[in-house]
Amino acid sequence: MAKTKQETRRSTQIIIAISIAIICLLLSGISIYFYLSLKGLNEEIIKHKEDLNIINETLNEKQTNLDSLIQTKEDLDNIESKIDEIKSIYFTNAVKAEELARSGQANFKVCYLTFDDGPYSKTTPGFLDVLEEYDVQATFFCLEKEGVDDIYKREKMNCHTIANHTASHAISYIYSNIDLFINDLLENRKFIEDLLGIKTDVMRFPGGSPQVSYSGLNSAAMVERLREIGYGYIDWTLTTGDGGGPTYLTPEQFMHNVTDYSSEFDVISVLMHDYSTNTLICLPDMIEELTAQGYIFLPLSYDAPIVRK
Amino acid sequence: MKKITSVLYIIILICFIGITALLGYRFLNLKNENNSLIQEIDKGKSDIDELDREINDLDKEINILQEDKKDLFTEYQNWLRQNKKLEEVLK
Repeated sequence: MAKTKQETRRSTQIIIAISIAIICLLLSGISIYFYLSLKGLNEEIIKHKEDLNIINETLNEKQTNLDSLIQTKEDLDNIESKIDEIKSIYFTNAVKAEELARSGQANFKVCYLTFDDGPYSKTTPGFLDVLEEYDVQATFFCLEKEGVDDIYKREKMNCHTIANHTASHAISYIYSNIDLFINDLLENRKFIEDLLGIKTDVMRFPGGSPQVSYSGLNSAAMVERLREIGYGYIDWTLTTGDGGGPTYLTPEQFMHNVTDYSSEFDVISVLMHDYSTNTLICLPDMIEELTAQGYIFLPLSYDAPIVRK
Repeated sequence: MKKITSVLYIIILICFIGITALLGYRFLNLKNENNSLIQEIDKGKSDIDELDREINDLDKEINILQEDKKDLFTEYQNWLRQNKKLEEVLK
């Protein structure tokens, strides 16, 4: 018998109800999945955010480190111009120091320690050791010498001034006429420039500036030639007397030749020779005594008031 | 009664769909956020590796330069120190 309309409707309602129930069940299942996943996802997100913070901090540190290294490399690439820069500042201060000392307004005096005729392979290193120990700068009036490149370089590295004392110091030759003298000086300038990359601009006459006129040359003309080639010159205020020979006097006598008279001055230059073993022996005591008299030690520069131009 | 039953069924269905949709929407958002974080972390790690490489390369270059320019570097440090000392005296 065919189903009655009522029965068909009832069946349809049941099917609809069951379908809706199945759909609701599926949706419930999906919702439960989403709900449970949310908790896990939240925890993952918190952990990932912490990881990301750590990574960002690490990135910042490494970037700072990298920036610092880049600066270091730039400094190294430009080290020569950085040296020129700091030297310019230093020597401006040094000139100011000498001017203050001369004016009597300073609570210090200025001493220029100078060593002529070197470098000497056997003795100059000893002088450099003492200067390094006392952290004192000096000026080396050098000749042109082979086989002692490392000593020139050490003088430069330790911030001593390398000045020109002519190439040969051959007094009878170089003082025979002005051109010969200037050529000898320029030869030494070239030697030092080729070796160290520095152009000397301070010189001392072998035997001192009076030697020019003693030799029959025109002092004014000589000084004018020096000016033309960019040199200033200096003699000395006091000397140990070691020009007479390295053991001409005892170390104590060498020292007293300087320290017995140095207190009378505000600015001095001291002439010594770095071949003199007795000068080397008295150098530490001399530095200590001059320090006690209020002296600071500076290397010479062209602009120093004590250098004649 | 039949109408009430149909409406009830529809309301129930809408509720279930609504809840599922809300949960699904939240789930997708968090999933996207998590994926972004994972990508950022991977990029960060890759950036760290790149920086490490740059730092190592630069370190090597600097070591070579420092060796080649050891004397100049020492001279520079010495000038800095002497100038600081002189500036103290002039104060």
